[in-house]
Amino acid sequence: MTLMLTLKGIVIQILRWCLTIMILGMTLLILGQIFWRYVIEAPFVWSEELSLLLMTWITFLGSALLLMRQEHLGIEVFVEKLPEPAARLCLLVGQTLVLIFCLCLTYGAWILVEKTRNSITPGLQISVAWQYASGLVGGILMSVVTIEKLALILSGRDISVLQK
Amino acid sequence: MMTAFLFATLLLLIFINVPIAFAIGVACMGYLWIEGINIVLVAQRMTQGLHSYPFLALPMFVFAGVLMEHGGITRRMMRLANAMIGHIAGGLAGVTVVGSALFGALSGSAIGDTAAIGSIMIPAMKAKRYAASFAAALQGCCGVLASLIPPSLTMVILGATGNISIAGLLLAGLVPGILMSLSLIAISVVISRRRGYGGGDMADLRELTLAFLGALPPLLLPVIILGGIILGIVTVTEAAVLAVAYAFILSVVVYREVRVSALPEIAFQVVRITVPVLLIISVSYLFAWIITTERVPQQLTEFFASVAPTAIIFLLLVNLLLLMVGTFMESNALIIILIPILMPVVHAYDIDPLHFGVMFVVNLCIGANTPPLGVTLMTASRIAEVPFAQTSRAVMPFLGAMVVVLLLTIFFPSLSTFLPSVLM
Repeated sequence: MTLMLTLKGIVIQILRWCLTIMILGMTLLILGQIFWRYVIEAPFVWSEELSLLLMTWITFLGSALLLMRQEHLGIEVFVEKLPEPAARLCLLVGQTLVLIFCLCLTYGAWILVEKTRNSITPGLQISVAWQYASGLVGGILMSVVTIEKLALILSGRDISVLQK
Repeated sequence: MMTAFLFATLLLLIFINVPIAFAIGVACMGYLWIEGINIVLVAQRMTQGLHSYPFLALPMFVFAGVLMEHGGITRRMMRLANAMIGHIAGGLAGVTVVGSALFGALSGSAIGDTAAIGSIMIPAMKAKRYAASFAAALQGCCGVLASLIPPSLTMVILGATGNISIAGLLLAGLVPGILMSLSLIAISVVISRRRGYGGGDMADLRELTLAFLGALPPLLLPVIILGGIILGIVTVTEAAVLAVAYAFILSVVVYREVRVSALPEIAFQVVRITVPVLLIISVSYLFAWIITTERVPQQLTEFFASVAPTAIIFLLLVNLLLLMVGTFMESNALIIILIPILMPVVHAYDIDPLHFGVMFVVNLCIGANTPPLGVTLMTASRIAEVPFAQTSRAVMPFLGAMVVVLLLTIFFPSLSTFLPSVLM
């Protein structure tokens, strides 16, 4: 159990750093693009593609981290007003559906990664699969986070942390 | 029939506290499963939805805004606003409006602004014996000024999804935004007079000059952004990243209120603000695919053609619909879901897309502040530590004023289209 918690802590830290580096990298990349185009007058062909790739990864990895931190936009006022057993049931139904959705995303992304493995992007000259891999990694992480929440709901312990 | 299923599932999921992005995703998944369409579409559309260059402007504008907030720029804006109108009755209320309009021009996100300015102004108003519910209601309404005054994130998303000129939209929102600010000030002054919420001393010329000079560098930012876009020198995304560079220089080098070592923390805050919006954009792209497949736009055009003989009646009907759904749906999701459905109808009625876009945003601003669910109103209520029920009552006069501005925007298209037509 402690091993799991340590592992979780490490994954959170890695995610946080990856996200920070990606967003800073993206900013510098677009800035560099302007500089190269107007000052040196030799635009790079791959910068636009790379910044979009970074944004896709930021979205899927960030979504997993925010899902863990309960920071996605949602409306909690109704469930809050329900008595405890009913609120638990609502959360159970909701989270089960979220889990199915995340698995669905993971499966689809996996198929797409397999399919596009050998196609090469025009700008970066890397495999198109990199783009879909973001959904794959994000999907797996989001599924794990949701399973953890489901375990909490089913264990019968206090669910107020999930109602923030 | 399937469209009804889609919307019903979506609403139900939102009510049982499934985050909005996931609620949209689950509803779409259910549809695909029932219709026997390959489920791989989920991953494909979600990834493709993020593949749009203008959307890169979102994290960048947020980055600039967060830097500005940490760099003490909010404080300088508030000082200028205070020097300008702090002395009149209900002065602090007026300062909140003007400050939000000025600062909203920097950060571009409604909830972010409500939190940033509210945490300064709400305690200040409470200290001067303004009712907390009044302070919260006003702040909630002010937060939405950020959606109308450039550079607004909402306008970027609207332009990118509806294929409307983003630069045009940014300019078009300006006059309605100013009208909205003036009407909020007017209402607060009337209420403050009646309840005796006092003003302060009049600022002397020296304070006014100092406050203006202090706020001048950040005030140049919207000028640089809009100028660059209008003159066609940079794209919206590039303008946004230039804003980040300018904000960085101001807060790290000029004002020295942000240390370079604080940068990772600031960057992570950008992630926290933008990722939920980006995920909603991503799943909404899947939703939009389904809506198009179901031929909803065509059915809607036929429906409106039979009930609305003129463009004005169509606009009024759309507004009624928006006012209803806007109270419980997140505004970015609404744009991405509804704009592709409505734009063909808008073209069929020969309505100027800029006029329609601005009207749409004004309407969303009202939704974001309408009880029982208005998101910005809730944020403000939380900061003011008043029960939401009290804020809900206090917001009514402001909502009235906002509806008046909405009607003006509907009936006088030139309020939105005049500036873009002159400047572009």
